[in-house]
Amino acid sequence: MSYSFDWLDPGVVDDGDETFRVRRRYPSALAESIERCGLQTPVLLEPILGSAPQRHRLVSGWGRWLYRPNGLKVPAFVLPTGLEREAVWDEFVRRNDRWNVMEVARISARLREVPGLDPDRLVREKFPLLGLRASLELYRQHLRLLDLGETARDFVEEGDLPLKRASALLKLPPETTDEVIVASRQLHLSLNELAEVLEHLEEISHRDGVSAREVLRAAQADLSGGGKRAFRVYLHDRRYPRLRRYRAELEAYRKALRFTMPVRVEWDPQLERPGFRLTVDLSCRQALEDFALQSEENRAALERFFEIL
Amino acid sequence: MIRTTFERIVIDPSVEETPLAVAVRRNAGATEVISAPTAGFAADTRHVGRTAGKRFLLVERFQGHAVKLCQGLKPGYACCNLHTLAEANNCSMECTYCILQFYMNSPHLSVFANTMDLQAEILRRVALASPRLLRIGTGELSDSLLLDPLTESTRQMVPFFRRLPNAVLELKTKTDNIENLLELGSAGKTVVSWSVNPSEIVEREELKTAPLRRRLAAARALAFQGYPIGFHIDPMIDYLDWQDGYAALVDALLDAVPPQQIAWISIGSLRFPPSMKATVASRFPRSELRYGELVRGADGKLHYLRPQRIEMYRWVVERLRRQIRDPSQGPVLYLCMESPEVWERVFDEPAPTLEELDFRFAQSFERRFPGPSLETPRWEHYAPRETPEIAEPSGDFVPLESVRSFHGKPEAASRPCGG
Repeated sequence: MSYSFDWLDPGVVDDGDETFRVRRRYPSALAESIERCGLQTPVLLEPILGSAPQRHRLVSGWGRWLYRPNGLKVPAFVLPTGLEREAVWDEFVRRNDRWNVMEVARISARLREVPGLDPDRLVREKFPLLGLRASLELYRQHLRLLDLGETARDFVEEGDLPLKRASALLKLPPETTDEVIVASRQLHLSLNELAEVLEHLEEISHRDGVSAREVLRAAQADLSGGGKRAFRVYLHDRRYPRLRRYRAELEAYRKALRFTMPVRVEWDPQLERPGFRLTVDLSCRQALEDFALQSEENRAALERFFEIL
Repeated sequence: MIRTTFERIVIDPSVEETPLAVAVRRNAGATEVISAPTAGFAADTRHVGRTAGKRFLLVERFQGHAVKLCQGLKPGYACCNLHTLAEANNCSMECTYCILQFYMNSPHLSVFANTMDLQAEILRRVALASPRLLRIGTGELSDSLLLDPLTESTRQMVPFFRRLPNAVLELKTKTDNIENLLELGSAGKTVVSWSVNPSEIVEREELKTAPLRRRLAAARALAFQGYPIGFHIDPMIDYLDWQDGYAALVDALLDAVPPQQIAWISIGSLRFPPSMKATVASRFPRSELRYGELVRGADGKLHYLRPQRIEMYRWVVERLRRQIRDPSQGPVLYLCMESPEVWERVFDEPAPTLEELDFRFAQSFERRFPGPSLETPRWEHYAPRETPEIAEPSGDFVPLESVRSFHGKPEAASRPCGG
């Protein structure tokens, strides 16, 4: 496609038209570079049909535009007048190389409005241009991200989260997710831990017929001042009441064991393996014999483990 | 009947003349059928996703080993030594717990039309196993009867197995597509088995399948015709009234089919890889599966806790034992994908080894469903060998000529499929 190049007065650009503004964050290096060297890379503009005097819509280069030096003309490529919407979007997509998932979501939503572009063709033809696999499921997953609340959207973009991580935030109503994100920041939860908390909240809420927000607030009230470990254990125990009960029983059995040598008992956290992992310090032959003898004496208690494991 | 409606059926030119492809064309009705390389079509439509991909059926050639040991056979399980035959891939029914949504790379349904190659491989495996009885099931990567109204596959496979000296075919289904089987007359050595669950679970978690009453009506009809019947109470699912639900299910099974006509009943519980949880949540938001108390087991999958599983299995086993008065005339009961420890606690007996269980199946089948081509099983043929059966075949297929001579006449496209 042939563009015309010009140095334009910023006044001819209608930056109130945000059709092509899908990016919300720009690297500080861009601002520093423009401040140091001036605006060197042209922005891409599209003439607005019927405007008099002629005005232009900003297609690509929003970051450069926002950081442009005041009072100077702006280098710009200008697209031919009257291009099809789809052709303009193609230009837009081609001129940018890496999108975060929220940006893909916004692009997908706006491409939906392009005349003649049904979801099937959108996915087959445009997703590869975005560096994505052509998949309707992927398209739908991205669109769902637009249901996130403001805090969650910022969280996704700030952390540059991949789609799977971002989708995990959709488990709860948007306002509750935003609250959980605030709590997770206070507790310094990792992304894995946050995903686990969201999953537990959703599942407890569904099973117990209470809102996730109520569960969250109950946890916060019961654990005022507790750290992230206490918070996670609280939710885990509430999510897995049987597991909690079995663990308590196992702990009681463990306390009933009597060994004279150092013996450490660990149980598989999933309670699946047929037995405790029992570590014993056998420093001499006598210790081995004592252990054999005491294992026999403890047999009844040890066998109780198998009632549960 | 469960009829899958396809938007398009693509037949690969390399199998166009096979009886199965001819049957598909004949039975396709108003569905568009095209002849095109299936690999290209699959690549072009891969993007449509898991659900929409099921609108397309590919009729193609299977390459590789079609007969394998069941994927469940893993260290730590008490397994039954079932072999599986890859006749088709994927399924248009939508069970929320289905492992295929995790396992399949391609969203389309495929059916393999080079039946003679598959039969050649079966012959080879049967010869290798002889004189042991080989159980071969087709319901691992698809439903065995879902596509049968279209492919008439059973019209080729059931007579083929009837003549095999030491093999049993197991067709495993959640449909009631039994018309072809009924027309084939006597069963010979084909067991038709149904995967079953209480009606409330069928309605909520086994979408687009035949309702329980229709599955049982189909089982009753085939049992009446002499087919040995199997039931798989699997996956058992924990829900509010599970005791009542599974008790009613056991009663309904034994009401539909007399115990002496049931070859085997397996029991298993819900299990799936952790990453499938998100898929289930996304594809089936109304499913209740993920709200169960599922924890990761030694095999890496999510399961109910062991005490809970044992309680559920024992509930079913005790109910079955109460109803089946003469165990020697009743089905083989076994657990699927469970450890020997669980087995012992469910059946109050030491878990059998793979060979012992295999022998138990053969003994029970030969005693209760005797036929001219079945030998009386002897333990020495089932006892562990030095070379384990687990090894996959080296790749030497039986020449097609052998299959043709086995059939007695050459396979031809013009030959009608069955009677």
